[in-house]
Amino acid sequence: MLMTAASACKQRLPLRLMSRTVSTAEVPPPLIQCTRMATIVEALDLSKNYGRFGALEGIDLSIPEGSVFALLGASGAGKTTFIKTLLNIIAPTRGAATVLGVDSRAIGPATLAQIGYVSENQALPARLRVADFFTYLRPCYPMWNRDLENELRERLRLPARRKIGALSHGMRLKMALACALPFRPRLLVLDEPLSGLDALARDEVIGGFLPQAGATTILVSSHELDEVERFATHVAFLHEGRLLFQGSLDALREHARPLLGNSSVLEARAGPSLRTMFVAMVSAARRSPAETAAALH
Amino acid sequence: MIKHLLIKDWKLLWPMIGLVTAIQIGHEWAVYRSGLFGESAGAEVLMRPLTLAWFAGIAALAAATVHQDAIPGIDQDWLIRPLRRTELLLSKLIFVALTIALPMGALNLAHTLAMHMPLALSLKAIVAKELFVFVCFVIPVMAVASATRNMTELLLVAAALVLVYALGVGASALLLGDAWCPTCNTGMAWLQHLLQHLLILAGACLILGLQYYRRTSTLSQSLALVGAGLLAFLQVTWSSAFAVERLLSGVREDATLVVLELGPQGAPPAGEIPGAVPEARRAAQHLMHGDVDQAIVDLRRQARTSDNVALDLPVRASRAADEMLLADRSQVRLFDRHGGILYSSVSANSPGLMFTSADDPAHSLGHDIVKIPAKTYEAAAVAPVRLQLDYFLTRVKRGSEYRIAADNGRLQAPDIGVCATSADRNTVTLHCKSIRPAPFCFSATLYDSEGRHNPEVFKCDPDYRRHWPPLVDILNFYGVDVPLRDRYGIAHYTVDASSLGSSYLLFRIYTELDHIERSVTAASFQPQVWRTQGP
Repeated sequence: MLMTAASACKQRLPLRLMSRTVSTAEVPPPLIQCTRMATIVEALDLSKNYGRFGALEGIDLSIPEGSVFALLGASGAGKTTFIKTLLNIIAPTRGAATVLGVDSRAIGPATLAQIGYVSENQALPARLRVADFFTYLRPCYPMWNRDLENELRERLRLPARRKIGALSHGMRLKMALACALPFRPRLLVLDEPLSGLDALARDEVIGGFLPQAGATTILVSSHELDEVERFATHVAFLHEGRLLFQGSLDALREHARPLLGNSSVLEARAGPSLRTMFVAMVSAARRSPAETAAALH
Repeated sequence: MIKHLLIKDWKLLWPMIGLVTAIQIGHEWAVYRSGLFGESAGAEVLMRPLTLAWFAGIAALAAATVHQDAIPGIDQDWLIRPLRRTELLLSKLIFVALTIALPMGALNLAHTLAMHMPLALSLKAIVAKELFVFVCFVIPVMAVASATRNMTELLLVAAALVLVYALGVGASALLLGDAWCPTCNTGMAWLQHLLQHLLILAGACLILGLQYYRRTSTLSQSLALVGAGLLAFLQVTWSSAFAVERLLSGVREDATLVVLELGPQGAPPAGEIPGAVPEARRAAQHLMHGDVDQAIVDLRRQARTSDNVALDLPVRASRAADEMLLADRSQVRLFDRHGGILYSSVSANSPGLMFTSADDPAHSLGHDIVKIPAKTYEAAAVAPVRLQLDYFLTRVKRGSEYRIAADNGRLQAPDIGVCATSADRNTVTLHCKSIRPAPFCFSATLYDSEGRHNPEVFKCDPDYRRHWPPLVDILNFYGVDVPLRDRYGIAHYTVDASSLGSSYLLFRIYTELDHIERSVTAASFQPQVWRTQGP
């Protein structure tokens, strides 16, 4: 049986903060207080069909405020479709979602001013210079912090005079990341932010960028499970448009234990990796429901 | 936020804006330098490619402006920015107005002032023209661009629209026959154009609204294609076009003086060749008026065998001395004894028949050549039938007159603009450019110093549009050729090249008075009496 947001809440699963640098004031309560803790994103029966193809099938998902929520799945699992549906870029076929308390289909400038978004496929104006792009964005956001912008640009070593089209893929992603934080968004959505980055660049993003996010809730989609494990507090597994699991990492371990069977000595000491759990759950999902139920019990 | 969007688009598009402005400068320079008689050969040669480049340039710039923040797709940056859709749309419209209309207006103003046109009139004409270009060309281009992601998609959709429109026109012509466009080739055609422009504008506004507020690209593209198909079928009926014209011009009391009647048989108007078949008569008429090419067409037509029988119906018109009548449309009907229609046809290539003031101050005779099928002719020849000719006429009145030297003359006046003449051994050519709409009916008569003159040469292409600005050139060009010599040696003119130095042209403008309907009826009509040609 697959765990839903509601069932995860009922079990009062612990929230784990890993490599994020957060001040004491920002530390959320140790347990997900489902009745009290604010939910920043909530999806109910969210579905999207392209003709007969179901890209999303009845997704029920909630993202607690202050979490780093990793949406994981193989390529084509529906991660990007889910994110674009949340941001009103794609209209859902069925179901609904709220983002920052607003119906996703009614998201307007006031809500978007509180959402930072970075995507590997984001079409940026190629002929514009990096500095000009920042100049263009500043007045869009009333809360834009110029000092934070300068700090991010310096930390990520963005060349101000270079045209965006002349930047490498990694530099473009870093620039998009640097544009997503200076207005202190309440929700930061990162769609495959590590895709195509080399190891150094990934470390730079994870170590140099994410700590700047502060109390911002982060929704990150990725298929880079090992990297995500370094900073995620919550995960959701998507497989072929269906949600396999959502909850904290500890809850995930609890949930996946019956599926794992004999683990290696290393894993027995450190606990199973995200990758192992993901593979086990996807394999279970591919089996018949009867086989899955037998494995879980 | 609009300001920042404008600055962003400027930074992205300034090289393209520079190119389009350079094309506009080049085009305006070519138009100015080619003058009234193509004085600069280089400018004359460049004018056509620059006009095409001008259209392509402003269309590409308008589309590129929209494509900077393309509407279809899911990866555009603007989708996740806190931008109001209205601000985005307004910024695009303002940007296009600033980068296309403003430079074009400035160049047009420089051109008109260089041609010594009055400032107030120039400004009025420029505002009207820029608005016309913006509303009828730029906004539709932006609408189609808003439903596409990039230039390639835009070109594909534009090609599809042209194809659908062409198919629509073909289907409409096939289904409706001659009635597919009742106002085409008449002075009322502007009403049809106005309707089409209004529909295109309404469709463009609808698509822009759908795209910027709903992002329904498939629906928008479908609407555009359906609209292009329907556009071919939406026609202004003749009766409604004529009613609108009558409403706009009013009908004067003295219109009652105009009477049409069937003239006496075999009485060709003065100057025509008695007994000649209609085409030969028309050819002679065209020759006398210097239109040799049309005369040859008439003669060729005459030589062609036909299954039709031509009837030459002389129609006599009574009217005021300084007026002319232009037939915008005529309908011929033959009824049998019981009132059934034997034959009906419509001629709507205006002016089909002109009653000029050239010959008789109060009356004039026109010959309406009606071709009826041989079978109908034979049926009607057995028993007398009733003939009814219905004419939709426009009265035009002789307006201002100007004298201008026949060779190298130059004249400037508020209602004609700048005019100049040029002559060779065969022809005196009068060309004019005006900031006002060009007169649709005017004539030129060549006089020598002793008062002798050649036939009055008319140039009447009925066009009753009001306040309709030009699309490309700010100045309206018009002119007429007055023959001095018949290249074929058939006609001889009183004033020829030998007296050109002391000759002058009398240039007359005719202005629209009103639009009236008149009918001519012959209760007992015997077609064989009027037969002039047939198998």
